[in-house]
Amino acid sequence: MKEYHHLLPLATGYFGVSSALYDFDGLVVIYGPAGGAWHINIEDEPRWYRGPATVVGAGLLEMDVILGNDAKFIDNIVQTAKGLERRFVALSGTPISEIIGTDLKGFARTIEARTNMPVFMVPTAGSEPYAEGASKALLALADKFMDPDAPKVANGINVLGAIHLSTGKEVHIEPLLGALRTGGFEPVAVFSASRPGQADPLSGVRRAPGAAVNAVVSTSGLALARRMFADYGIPYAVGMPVGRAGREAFLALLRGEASASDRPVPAPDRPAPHRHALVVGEPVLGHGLRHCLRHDFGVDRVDVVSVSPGDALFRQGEGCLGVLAAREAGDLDTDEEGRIAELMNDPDVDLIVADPCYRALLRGRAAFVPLPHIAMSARIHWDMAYEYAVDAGYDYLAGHLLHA
Amino acid sequence: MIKVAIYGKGGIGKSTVTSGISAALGTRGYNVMQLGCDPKTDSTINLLGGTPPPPILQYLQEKGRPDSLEQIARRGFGNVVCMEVGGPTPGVGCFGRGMLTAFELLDEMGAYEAYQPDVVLYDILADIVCGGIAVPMREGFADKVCIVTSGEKMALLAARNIILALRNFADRNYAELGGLILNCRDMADEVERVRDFAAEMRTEVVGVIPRDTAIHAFEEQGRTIVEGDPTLPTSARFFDLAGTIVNFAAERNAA
Repeated sequence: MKEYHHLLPLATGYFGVSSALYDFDGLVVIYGPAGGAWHINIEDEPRWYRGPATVVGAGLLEMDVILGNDAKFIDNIVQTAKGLERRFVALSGTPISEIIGTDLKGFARTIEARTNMPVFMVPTAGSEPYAEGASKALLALADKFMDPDAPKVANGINVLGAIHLSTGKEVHIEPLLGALRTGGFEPVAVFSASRPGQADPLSGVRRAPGAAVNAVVSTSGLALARRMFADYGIPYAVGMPVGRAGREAFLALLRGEASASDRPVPAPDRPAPHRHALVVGEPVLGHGLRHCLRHDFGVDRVDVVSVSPGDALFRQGEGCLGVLAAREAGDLDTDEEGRIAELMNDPDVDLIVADPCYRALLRGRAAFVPLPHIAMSARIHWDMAYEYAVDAGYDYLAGHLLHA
Repeated sequence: MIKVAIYGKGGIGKSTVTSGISAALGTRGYNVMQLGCDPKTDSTINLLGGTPPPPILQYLQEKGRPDSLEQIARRGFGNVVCMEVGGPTPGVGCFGRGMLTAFELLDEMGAYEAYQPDVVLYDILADIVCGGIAVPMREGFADKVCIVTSGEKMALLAARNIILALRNFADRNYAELGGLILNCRDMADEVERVRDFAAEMRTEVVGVIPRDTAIHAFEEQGRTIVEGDPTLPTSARFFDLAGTIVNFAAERNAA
């Protein structure tokens, strides 16, 4: 049994669905009890305050579940979807639909027939990690909207897995997009964010099969990358390039120069005064931070604690150009508060990079660099000033490590 | 491959009819998979000499996810792959949800790819009392639904409910109604009654199984009548029904 005294459990599957689909002007329906969408909108979805309602709950009451009032639920969704003039409707499962075996796939067909809108179901159960829910949502989105005949874009690139629960506000991935452009790539689609100047926020999704390569920046993008290689032959590289060395290594992977990413990196001009760091957070970003701390700041040992499952990172499938990550002895996949506290308070650890909520677990004197993980701290640190991607990430970390 | 779900009123003879069809198909050389969907786990016993296979849900509870399909399947008469969903002790738990779990497990374990059945028969308990019992009708599971009925009023009422449920869900892409199978109780004008009912419901009677004490005599031995004596006139009816099921597959492939 997991115990939480200082932290909240991480967001689960349908939060991930919301995160992955929020920016595409759809209606995300959580098949949960009355009030079920409240915690998504109020706690985990900071964007809710800034735009129209996109996530709604089914508002199920006890008798709805017992008597299976499907017609009432479907009528409500049809009316809401028509009233809000959404571009699609996505139904996401929760423990309720999982336990009573609600046929959300069948519901989707009925709602589609009655609204003439694209409707799809995301098979979440509410017990899976948020990253898995987001992954399933991205696959469903791709199945529904990707155009297999999309025009080819020379050096076109899609960014997969940039969901707000993992990568934060869209502004935090802008430095990455800039580095990709400078590196000769042309961003086609970002999953999941609409691009500026697009009247149809789904246009990137539709055009995504025309890209030449995919960049997977969180585990939520892995399944989509594999599907897009199988369906469209688009190769992919996995990694979140943090700092300067990470930028160069990731661009090399994307160009298919895997060996170049392993080239020895010269020792940093200004090493940080730390020897053993612990990074806690999303696995792809965690490994990106390790690369940066080691190569840009000379931190010898960096352990990565992945709070959502990171195994899939290391199962390289066909079409994978490379992964900016390597499993090391001190790494661990866990979201258990007690275990993370033990690691943070290891006397050998002198630097911690983690969401600010983890600071409550720190009893020792290790330096703490706050880096929000929205799946943990939600809106609490949404507006905090921080960066991680490429040079902006270097500057942010340097501000903490070199001027402390 | 064609997948057919057999529904009907409790006690109407669904397992007898389903096993008879499986035995006839197996005798004719078809690869058949029969999945009993009833906590009593008695759908396939007459293909297996009276001994049912390990129920899937009980296996999951006691031993966890099976490593291979062989742990939950047995080969019966006619080389039919026999499986039973199993289910909760009467009075507790939720069988409908359990059935969904078992169906998903078979899907995940690649049962259909492994056995490559020409015909899959789901033998489903009683009426569609909850969403879970309708699972076999859903997209991805059965292609056709056949309803076993007699000419009795209550059996026809149950059949009507099942047909209405199917038609309610037409826009969800559920299975199509294949027709009625009359399992005779020796009522006066029984065949006409059921044919009239079928016409009213815009369907047809796809098979008629006469009342025959030989069926029960062979079941006492843990066998179907098709296995016991394939030359009997009643066995011939099962071979006819098997042919109808095979035609479903041909029609589907043609479409």
